[in-house]
Amino acid sequence: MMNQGGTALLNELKKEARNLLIFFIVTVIILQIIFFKENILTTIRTAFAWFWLFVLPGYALMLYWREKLNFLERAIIGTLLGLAIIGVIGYNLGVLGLNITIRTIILPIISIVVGVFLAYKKK
Amino acid sequence: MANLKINFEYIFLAVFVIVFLLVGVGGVFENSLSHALPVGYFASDAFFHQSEAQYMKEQGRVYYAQPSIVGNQNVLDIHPPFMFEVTVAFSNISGLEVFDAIYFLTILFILFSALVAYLIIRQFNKHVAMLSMPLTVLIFTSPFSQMINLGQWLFIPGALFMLACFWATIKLKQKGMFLLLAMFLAATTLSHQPELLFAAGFIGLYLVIKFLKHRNIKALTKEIVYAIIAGVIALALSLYSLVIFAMSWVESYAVPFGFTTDTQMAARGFAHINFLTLGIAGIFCLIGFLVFALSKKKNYAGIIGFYMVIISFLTYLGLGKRAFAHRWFWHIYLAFFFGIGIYYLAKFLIKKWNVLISASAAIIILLILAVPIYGDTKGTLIDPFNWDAFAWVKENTPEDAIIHYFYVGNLEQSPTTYNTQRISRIMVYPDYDGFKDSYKFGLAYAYDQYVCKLSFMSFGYYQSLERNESEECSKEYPGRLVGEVQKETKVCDIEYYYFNGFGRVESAVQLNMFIREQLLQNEWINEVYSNQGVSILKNDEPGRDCLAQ
Repeated sequence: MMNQGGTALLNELKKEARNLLIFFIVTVIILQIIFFKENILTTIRTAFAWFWLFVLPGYALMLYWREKLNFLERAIIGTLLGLAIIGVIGYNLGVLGLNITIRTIILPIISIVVGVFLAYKKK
Repeated sequence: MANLKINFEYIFLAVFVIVFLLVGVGGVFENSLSHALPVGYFASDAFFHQSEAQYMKEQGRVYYAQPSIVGNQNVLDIHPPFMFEVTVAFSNISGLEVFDAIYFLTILFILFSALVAYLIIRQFNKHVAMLSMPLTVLIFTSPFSQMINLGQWLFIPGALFMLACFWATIKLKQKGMFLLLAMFLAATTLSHQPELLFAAGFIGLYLVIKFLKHRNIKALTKEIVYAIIAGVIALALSLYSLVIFAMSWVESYAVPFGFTTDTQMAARGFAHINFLTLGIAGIFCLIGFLVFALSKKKNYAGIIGFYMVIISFLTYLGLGKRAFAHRWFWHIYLAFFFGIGIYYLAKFLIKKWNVLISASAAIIILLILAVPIYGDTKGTLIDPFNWDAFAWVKENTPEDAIIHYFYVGNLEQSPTTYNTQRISRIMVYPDYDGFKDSYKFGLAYAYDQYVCKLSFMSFGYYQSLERNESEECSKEYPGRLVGEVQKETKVCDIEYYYFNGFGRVESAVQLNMFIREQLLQNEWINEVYSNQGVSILKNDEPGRDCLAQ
C-alpha cells in the first residue's frame, strides 16, 4: 500500500505530466507555425523525437530539484541535461559497441526511471 | 467562471521562440522541416559535418571516419563527437534526413543558448531578462551568421554547454548541482574542447569572486570540493574522446601563446567582427555596460557578459579562431547589457513598470529587429542534379571505386562529394582549359592525421594518405601523411568519369562536354548515369587507349 509521501509524489507527478503534455502541445503548435508548409504528422514526429530524446529524460532527472527550481528552469536546463545524456553517455556506450537504435530507446527510459526514483527517494 | 491567470512571461517566451526560429531556420528552410536535399549549406565544413553524420548513422555509432575520405578502413573520427551523436539519434527518431536534422539542431542550440542566458539574467531581474532577448535574434545577421552559413556547427553546442556550465556554477552550492555541472562540463568537452577551458576559467573566476566577497576560504570549501568532483566525473566521461583529440588536433594545430595583432580569421575566409559591427544595438549595450559598471551591486549576468567579451579578444594572445568564434555569440553574451540599457532608459518614461509592459516592449523590439532580417538567408550550394548523381554513385558503384570529377562548377569545395562515400578526385583549377590526354586531380580528403586503434585505450597512426589495406596501425606519429594530394592522371586510366553540365566557367563546361563526347566514341566506355546536369561514364577497360589522336 502506498504511503502518504508516495501519494503526494504521485499527485505531483500527475501535475508535472499535465504540464509536460501542455508543453508538448505548445511545441507542436509552435513548430507548425514556423514550418507551416510541413505535414502535421512530420511536425508531431519531430516534436516527439525532441521530447523523447531530450526533454523527458532531462525533465525527469530535474524533478530532484523541483522545490528549488521552477518549471521554466527545469524545462530549459532539463532539456540540456537530456542532450548531455544522449550526447555524452550515448557516445561512450557507442564506443563500447552499443548500437544507436538501442541507445535512443534505453537511455531515455533509464533516465526517466532514475529521475522518478530520485524524486521519490527525496520525498 | 474559471479564474484564468495569464502568465505574460510565458507568452513572451512563446512569441520569442517562434520569431527566433522563424528568422533562424524558418526562412532558409522555406517553412518546411523536410527537404529533398541539404538547404542552407554554403561551405565545405557544413557538408563535411552532414556527410560524416550520415555515415555514422549508417554505421550505428559515432566512431569511425568515412573510409573514402581517410584512405583506410578503421580510421577513427577525430572530431568532438557530441554533434554527430545527437544528430544521429534525433534523425533516427524524428525520421528527418540527417542533413535537415543537423541544421535544425544547430539553430535549436543557438535558441537554447539564448534561453540559458535568459535564465541567468532572470536571476537578477525578470524585466531586464525579457528586454534582453530581442538582441539575440541579431545573431542571424551578417557577419555573425557566418558561423551557421560556413558550417561552424561544432562550436555552437560547445558555447551552449559552456553557458550551461556557467548556470550550474552559480548554483553550485545547491545539493546535487555538481552532478549537473559534471554532465555539462563533459558535454562541453565532447562538443568543442576549447570551451572547456573557458568554462573552467569561469569556475575559477566564480570562486575568486566568492573568496573576495567573504574573505573566508572555509566558506568556499564545499564549492571547491564540488567543482573538483564535477571535473573528475567530466574527465572520466570524456576521456576516450580527449585522448583521440590529444593525438590528433593537439599534435597538428596546437599554437603557442604569444602577443599578436592578427585574429587569424581573414586567412580562414571569415569576415572580421569588432564592436562597431554591432551597430546601433551596440550603443544600447554600451549604455547597459556603463549602468552595470557604475552600479554597486554586481551580478553574474553582467560578469559573464564581460568575461566572454574578454575571451573573444584573446585572439591577441594567439588563441585565434578559438577566441574569435565567441564574437559570433556576442548578441547572446551582451544581451544583458542591451536589456539593462533599455530598461533604465525606459524607466525614465514609465515609473510603474510591470511584467505586461516588459513583455509588450520586448515583443515590439523583437519584431522591429526580426522583421527586416527574416528570409535574408536562402538557397544552398548543392543543386538537385548533382545531389541525385551523388546518390546514384553511392548506390551503384563498388565501395572501392574512385570517381574522377572533371570541372564541377559550384562544387569546388570537395566535402560535397563525401556524400557519395567513394574516393573522389577533383580536377585542379589550372587544368580547366585545354584538351589533353592527362589532367591533374586532387584527392578530396579531410584529415591531417589518421588515428587508429591499437587496443581499447591505446591508439596509433596510419601513415599513408591513400588507401593501403596492408598498412598496419603504428605508434609512430607521421607528422605529415605520406603521399601526393594532387596526381597527374591519364584520362584513359580512369574508371568512373563525372561530368558537370553547368558552372561559372563556361569554357570549362564546354571542355567537360568535349572530353565526354570523345570518350563515348569508344564502345568500352558507356554512360551509366545522366540527368539534366550531370553525366557519369564508366570505362570497362581502364588503361586502353581511348582518345583519338
